[in-house]
Amino acid sequence: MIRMGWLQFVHSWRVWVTAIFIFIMSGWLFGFCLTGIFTLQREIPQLINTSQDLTPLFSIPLVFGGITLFLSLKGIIQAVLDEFKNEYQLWNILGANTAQISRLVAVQIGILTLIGTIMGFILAQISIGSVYGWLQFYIGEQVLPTISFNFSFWGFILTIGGEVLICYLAGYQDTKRILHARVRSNIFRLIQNWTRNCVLFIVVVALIKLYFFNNLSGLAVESKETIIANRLFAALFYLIIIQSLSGRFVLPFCLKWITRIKLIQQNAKAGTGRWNVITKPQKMMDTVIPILITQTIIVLLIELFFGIPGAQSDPKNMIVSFIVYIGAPICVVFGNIISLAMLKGRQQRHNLTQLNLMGFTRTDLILERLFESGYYAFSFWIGAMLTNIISYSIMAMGMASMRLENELNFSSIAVWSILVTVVLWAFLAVIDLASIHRWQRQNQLSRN
Amino acid sequence: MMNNSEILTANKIVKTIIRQANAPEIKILQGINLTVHQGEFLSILGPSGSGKTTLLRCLSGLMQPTSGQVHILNQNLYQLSDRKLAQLRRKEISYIFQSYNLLPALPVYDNIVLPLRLGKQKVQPQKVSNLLEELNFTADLKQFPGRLSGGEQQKVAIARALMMDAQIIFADEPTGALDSISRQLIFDQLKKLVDRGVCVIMVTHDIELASKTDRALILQDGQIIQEFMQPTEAELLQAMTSKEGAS
Repeated sequence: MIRMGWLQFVHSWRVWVTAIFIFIMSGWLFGFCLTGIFTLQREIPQLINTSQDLTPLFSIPLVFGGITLFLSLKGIIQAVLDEFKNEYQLWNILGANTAQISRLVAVQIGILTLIGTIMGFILAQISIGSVYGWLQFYIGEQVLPTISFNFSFWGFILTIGGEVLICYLAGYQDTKRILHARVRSNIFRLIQNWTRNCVLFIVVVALIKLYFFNNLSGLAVESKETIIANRLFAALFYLIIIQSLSGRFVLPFCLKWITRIKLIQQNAKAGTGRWNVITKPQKMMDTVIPILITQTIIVLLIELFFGIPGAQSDPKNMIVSFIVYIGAPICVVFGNIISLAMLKGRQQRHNLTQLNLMGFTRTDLILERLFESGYYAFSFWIGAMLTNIISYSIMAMGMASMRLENELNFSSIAVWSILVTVVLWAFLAVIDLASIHRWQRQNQLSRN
Repeated sequence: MMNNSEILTANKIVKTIIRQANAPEIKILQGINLTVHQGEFLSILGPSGSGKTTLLRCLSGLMQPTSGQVHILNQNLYQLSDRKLAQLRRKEISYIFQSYNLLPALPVYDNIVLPLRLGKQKVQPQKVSNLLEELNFTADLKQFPGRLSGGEQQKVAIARALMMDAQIIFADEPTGALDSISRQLIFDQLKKLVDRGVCVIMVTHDIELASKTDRALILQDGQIIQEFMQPTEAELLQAMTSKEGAS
């Protein structure tokens, strides 16, 4: 199966390579962390297992990044299986069972991971000194002593081996799950939907309770900040679940109703873009929801660090905690979003050809895609504003009931959301423009 | 209960689809009963939209019927596990489509021996070469399918069926995309397979080829309306033109 996986990879490398960014990103992360760990053991062994041990600064992101990587690959695998649907169906027709097809895909992911990880590791070697220096600047030399980072052979081996293993296993697992999902019975799907709706209902009720029950007065002064922080973490947990389970339905629904303007519907480009977004909830799921969740986490941390008085008394600890616990998963999620967006960009040619046959010129296609990416960005903004209003209100009302001063203005959160929306629009627009350019070039080649 | 020479039985096969939510069901197949024997060459004809390809896909395990049963080699096709179905496809059942029969990623040799490799069976390279010589295949075994002509691709698909000693072959317009010479060559190869005891079930629009099969079924509106044993071209032409005129 390794040989067949290699042959299949060679045949479909152009598609796979558009997804390489996440593997480069995680290769960088793994390379950075493992080089750091081995360097610490070599340079400052006396600090290992003491209170000044810096190993957690590298090991915790490694673990959290690895877990995030394992969980993030499903979207990429789904996109590749969709691209080569006919081929994988033919494998099945010719006698390959689900496990064999899963191994076939897993081998290809392993090969791509190997290439991406090596590139990421090289980048890590180049950048590790600068990144550590930057951290040192913000956190201080007392916490982060000066260390000389050098290439670590075992760091290299473990980076490659660890990442290839994680991605192979994730690839196998996710492919199997996707293939089985396609043949699941209607009853199973009904149970799945019912379970999802029940979980959503429970979480929404919990969030409403959190929102409206804000009378926290009478509690001990020392615990007030902690209580508000805990309530914010609870809100974050509920909001992430709501976004994951309902985002792909709620956001297109909101978009559909908000854009029910004749001006939009009657315009060929704006109207077509609108329907293309509303009828593809999977793209919303893959592209917008992960960014929305990441945005929610970051906004919550901003509210924690800058809204609650006293939280800024130890900014260094805040930065370290952020980097250690959140930084790695955010890097991997960011890499995943870029990979997915580029993969989806590739799959546009059929739609572009259809529109072209119906009379869309190149300019029309560009405008239509700009509207589409604008709608995705706008959907993100709707979700972000709703979420931010909820989390900010929970914080603000809790602090008001305890007579604590709210040090964070909502306008700064709103500006942050708008900035992310604009960046998202620009990013999606660039990918779409590149897709149109590639499609046009392929069209010209096939005509000649 | 199937007797020894029956290789496939289909009982009350119905296939309905719903194209859009809240739209009425469309019945593509309406209670088809069919028995096919070992070493039989069966052709299925009918006007466009009569359900020929749907019937073939239901009989071959590619599409689950809405109701009804299909038994191949005494096994209920739609009650087999994923593993057992894959085993059946490696050893007993082969498929030849009008196009897209071969995996574009694999060279000719690997395409031919793929079912054997999937079943972890031993591969005899000499047997592959001998088979391809028999089929008059002249291209390189290391070539990729994209570089082969339509006729050559179909020969590779037939070679694959021969390598795995398939007992039943489902062919959907196997000569549809070929020139007249290749068409005859491929059909002759299918006939040779039948002479070796393989059962071939073929969907075709080609009346001339269908007249050279053992049995021909005429399908219309999802039902078998006529059956001919040792059909002649004239019979089939009359049956087809009268049905097309009526519809």
